[in-house]
Amino acid sequence: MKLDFEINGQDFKKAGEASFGLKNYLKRLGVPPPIIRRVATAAYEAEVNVVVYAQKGHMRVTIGEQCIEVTVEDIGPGIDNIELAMQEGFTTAPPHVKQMGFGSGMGLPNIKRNTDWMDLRSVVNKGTTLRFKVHFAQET
Amino acid sequence: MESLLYLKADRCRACTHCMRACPTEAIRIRKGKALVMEHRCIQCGLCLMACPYQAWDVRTKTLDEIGKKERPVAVLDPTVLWQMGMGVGLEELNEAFLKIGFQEVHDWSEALGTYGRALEAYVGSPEAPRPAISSTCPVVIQLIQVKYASLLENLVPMVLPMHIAATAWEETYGEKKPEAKLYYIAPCLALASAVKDPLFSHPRYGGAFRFNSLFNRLKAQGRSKGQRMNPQASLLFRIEGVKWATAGQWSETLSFGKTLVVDGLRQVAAILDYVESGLLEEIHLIEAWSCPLGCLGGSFLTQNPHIARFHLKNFLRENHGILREKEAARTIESGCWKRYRFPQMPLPRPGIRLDEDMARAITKLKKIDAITKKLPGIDCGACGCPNCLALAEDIALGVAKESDCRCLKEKGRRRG
Repeated sequence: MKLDFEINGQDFKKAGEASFGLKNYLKRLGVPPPIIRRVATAAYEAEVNVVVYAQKGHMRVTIGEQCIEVTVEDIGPGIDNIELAMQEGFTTAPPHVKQMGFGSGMGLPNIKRNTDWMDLRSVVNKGTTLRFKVHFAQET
Repeated sequence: MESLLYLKADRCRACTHCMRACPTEAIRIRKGKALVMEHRCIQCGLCLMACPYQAWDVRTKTLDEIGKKERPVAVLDPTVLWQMGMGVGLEELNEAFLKIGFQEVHDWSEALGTYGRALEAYVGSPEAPRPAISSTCPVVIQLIQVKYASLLENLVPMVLPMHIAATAWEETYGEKKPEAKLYYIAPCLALASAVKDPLFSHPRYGGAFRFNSLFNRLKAQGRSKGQRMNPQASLLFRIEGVKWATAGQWSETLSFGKTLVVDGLRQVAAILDYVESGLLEEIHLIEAWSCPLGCLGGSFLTQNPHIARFHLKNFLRENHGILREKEAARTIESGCWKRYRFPQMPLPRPGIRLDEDMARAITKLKKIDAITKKLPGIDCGACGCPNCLALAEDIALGVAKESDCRCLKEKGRRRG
């Protein structure tokens, strides 16, 4: 099952709509609640990143039998130093964005924490592609 | 939770008001009558309030049903104090209940205080999730069971205050009065239904009364003009009891400070959406109520909730000194909340889930998407579903047909 959501860059009043919409689908599909929470958290953080930094983006979701895969691709400034961006507390958010409550520097680390696999690639002045997966069956 | 709600079919005219009012889309019109899908019902009572023909009714108790031998004991919801107008004092209220047929009115202000301290102990403990979500409103609990199952682990795992009231009564009078039964004087459908639910309540309850079903009789017992609420009177005089009637009053006095108060079901859902997406983790407690202004907004009450709240706040202001004393003397024993733990955690309900098996659910979702494209999208309700998406879903689930859509039928007739 494939789902597609548009994300408008810089549109703060709509930030979260895509990930909330995704959540609704997952609930109707009966995805286990803890999985929903993890996917919802990661998707929300990814969406907010596009809104805060990029011009526009897409969220594409593939729901398979073993896992949910999410790809968030955007057209925007890109990430200069990915390793630095992954550090907790590091943010390049401008003051007006921080005033709105975003830019805590925890977005990417939160995505990593909530997912089973994550891949982040970027080209400066072009855009960023983030992919992550959450598996259904959890290995104990 | 077993529902007390039922339809008086002869009064139902399929006007669709209740169907549109339902926040979980649990109602359908089938064969000209409203029907509720219990797995989606969260007992908010909006259907009851929306019906212009009083077709929805509730199986609460009536005084005629209760035999004298039963020795019924009234347990008043804290909101009841604010329903009679300021002219009625506490002792008078107490007396009025005795005059209409109750054996006794249980003073459970102590139990409410205990609940408050236990809740504070829990939220302050290292085991508490962030944010913790209050579990005093059974509608909020059921909303979470139906639509936000991933947040069940955030609920404060404590029984309802009405349970603690019954435990306290049992400890004092249980042996001396074996035939006596407790009856909750309820402000709303959810609390009235909770009384008989083993997860939330206590076996000593015989059932619940709707406050508004007793109001006229209580009023008829006469009143002496000018008698104000006497804070020293035994019935619910303790401030903790009074504060539970409305949203936010109680949590204002908590020691840890970071509480978010939200009332009104749509607002509660919006906040829960944020929590589910990983936000609001700096908040200790979300105090959530389905009704506007908290329980004072309950549908079985008679007084306008804002007027009731006005009187309540005046009372708190006038008794500010006593309040401060009580709070200074309060001790919170960490771990005391464990005595009041849920016997088991509330489980998720199937709710909006399309199928138990995900592969089948995906097939149904694809079918729904395909059918939705054919439907007009005007959500007229004539098919008996609250909106076109719900009809598409019902068709995919095999409980409705495309021919139920009047618009499609009309289009087909015009073409042919």
